[in-house]
Amino acid sequence: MERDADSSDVQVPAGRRLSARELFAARARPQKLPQRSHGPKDFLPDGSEAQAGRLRQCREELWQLLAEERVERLGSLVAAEWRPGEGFVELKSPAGKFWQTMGFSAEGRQRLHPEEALYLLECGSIQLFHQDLPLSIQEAYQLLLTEGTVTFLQYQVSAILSRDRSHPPRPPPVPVTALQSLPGAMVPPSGRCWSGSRRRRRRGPRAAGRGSNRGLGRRVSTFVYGQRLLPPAGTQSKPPNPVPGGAPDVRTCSRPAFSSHSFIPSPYERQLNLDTGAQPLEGRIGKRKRRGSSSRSVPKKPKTLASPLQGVNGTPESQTLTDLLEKDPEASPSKDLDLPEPLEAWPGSASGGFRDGAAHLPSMPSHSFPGPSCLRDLSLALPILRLLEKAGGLEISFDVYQANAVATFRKNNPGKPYARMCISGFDEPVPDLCTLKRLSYQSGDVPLIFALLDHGDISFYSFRDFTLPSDLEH
Amino acid sequence: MLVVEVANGRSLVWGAEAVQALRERLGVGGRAVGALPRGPRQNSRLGLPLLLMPEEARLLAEIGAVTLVSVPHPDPRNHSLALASFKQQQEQDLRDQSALAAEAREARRRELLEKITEGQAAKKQKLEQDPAALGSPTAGESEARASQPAREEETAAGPSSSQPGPSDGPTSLPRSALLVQLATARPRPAKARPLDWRIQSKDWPHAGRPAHELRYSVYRDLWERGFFLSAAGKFGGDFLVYPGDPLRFHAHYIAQCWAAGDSIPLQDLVSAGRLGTSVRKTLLLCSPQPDGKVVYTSLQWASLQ
Repeated sequence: MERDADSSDVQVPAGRRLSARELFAARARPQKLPQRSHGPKDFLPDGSEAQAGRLRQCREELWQLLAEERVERLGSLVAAEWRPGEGFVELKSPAGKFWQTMGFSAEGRQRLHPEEALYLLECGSIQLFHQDLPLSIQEAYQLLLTEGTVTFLQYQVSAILSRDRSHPPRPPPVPVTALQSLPGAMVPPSGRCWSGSRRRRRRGPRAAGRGSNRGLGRRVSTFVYGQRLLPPAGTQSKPPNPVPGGAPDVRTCSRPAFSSHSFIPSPYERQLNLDTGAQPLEGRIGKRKRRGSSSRSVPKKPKTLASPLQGVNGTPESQTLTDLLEKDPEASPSKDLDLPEPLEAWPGSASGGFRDGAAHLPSMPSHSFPGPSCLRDLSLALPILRLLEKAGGLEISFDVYQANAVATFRKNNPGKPYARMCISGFDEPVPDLCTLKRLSYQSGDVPLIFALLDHGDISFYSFRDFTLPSDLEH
Repeated sequence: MLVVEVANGRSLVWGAEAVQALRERLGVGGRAVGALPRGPRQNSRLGLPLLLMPEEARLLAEIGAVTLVSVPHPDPRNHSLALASFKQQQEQDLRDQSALAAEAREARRRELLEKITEGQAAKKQKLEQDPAALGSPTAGESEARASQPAREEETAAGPSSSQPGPSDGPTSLPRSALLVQLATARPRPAKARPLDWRIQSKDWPHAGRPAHELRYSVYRDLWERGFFLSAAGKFGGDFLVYPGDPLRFHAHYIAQCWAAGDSIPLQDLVSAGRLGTSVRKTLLLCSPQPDGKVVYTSLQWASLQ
């Protein structure tokens, strides 16, 4: 991009250039990586010389490692050229060993995807040219990682997996358009099938105090264990107000609805008092199973959603699975569950019992969402959801294959991937249930892994379908 | 004055000296996210670039330690000059490296020369002794034989021994043996536009965002108290708070930032408390007050007995 020089422009100094002697000396560098901490870490800084000495040693090693430059023989480097207009890198000399698992052939030429080229550049396997000049790693990051090709986050995950000797991830083969031809695809009245953001918007703007994004790892469990109630069909569907600056600050969007209600002390106090074991919900479900068809765990009569519970649970907002399970002293508090919308607003749901047996699908009014029990068997209900809804914006980024399958891995026919990866950062919205189900449907029988990045700190998580045990007596 | 380039809200540091200065002098660690040249195929130790959290970048700019700039785009007008300069440099490199290679070869040869002459002498001696036992007619043959190996060795040492004498200059290094530096940072200086972190822009979308302002207040306060901070996404928090450099100290706290006046859901408190206990860190609820001070509350999980 050409721009005229401004007087306020800052001179950015060039990186270090090694002399011939330094290049030669680089060949004799030690190859072993020193330990990071050199022994167990200290608890508190005590100003002692020993502590300072260890810290100094660790730091000096770190500076030395970071300052080393990549030095390679020209003959061992594969020459490659970045084609910005086309979004790929073309090899100018024959590919090396990496060709077994990376790259693709097109028009008789060997090519690399931008993330593959960048990874190989960082490994010192290729020399990347652009307009006949070799690119430094910094310039390559700048040119190759754009919104149109591979984003920075995607590259980070891809590089971490590649460095870990998993197969370099390949872009997923399933085109989204293939899903458009699913029979019975319906357009739901509102844009989203998850109520979180809607509810909050109706209660007015809230200061973005704390996002629940960081609790994402925790909230994973809620999708596995909990039973989410889908909002009634009549829910308002105002789209979230765009925050100035572009990307919506969706930390406000994804707070569990509990936060918007006043704290009801009594049932939770009671439950907290009883909650001495503090076991994960899984443990409790297991226990319930072992107790067999104890009527305590499941009320005999399915609660119709239209009738609100009395007493402490008088407020519609507090009708949760917890309340229905309150007979069970070991029931967990509703930490895993979102509170649903006022249930009396749910139209025509008398038949769709919340507590019905596992496989029962309520009759679905044509204009509403499927009832809650379908969540246990959502694969049946999927054709009815609008799968192409890109509300979450999250897409499968690439397929991951296992490293130990190198011998059998064939680029043209890679076979079934080990997993498919979806990537997001903490600034992005929490994927809603609709998005999650759409993605897992897209993924088919390949497990889906979500990579979450917090400024370089990466966590992986995945969802598992879970079916609550049904009460056999029913 | 250190310069940090920012693009799309992301601040990356590409110089090792800068990373050192930031960590040692200013207590800002960042996180290395690139491959390490010495070991590019592992994830336990990563290398440049160093990724700074927006709070870190803003703090450094605020205290005047660093100038934030938008990533400069290459100026096409400079391209031909850069290309010519690169080619020239490569030729120069070839010459320098050839000279060095020749120097190295010469030094090696001199080392070996002594050994060669020793070997020759020893062999000569041995062969002279033997023919004496065999008798005189073979003496001539053996001498011839003895001289032969010597001659062979001389011819072998010929090309290298001819060099220190009147040589025709160092033989050029074959191009494939040329050592090349794959530069980490940009090899040519560039001019970049300074970035104002107070104003929202494409490269700095954080300005004015409530979440960023909240996190920044807490970050700045904790940094001023002498703590080292890093990202805590894995721990369900905003920051991990260390009493010293994370290279040698464990984190003591997981800091969660809450806006003053925001209600904290009970389930979040419970989960947070549990999390802190299970990873042996104290959970810190941090809340900047309207008067600018930050209030901290620590959470400890306890059972009622």
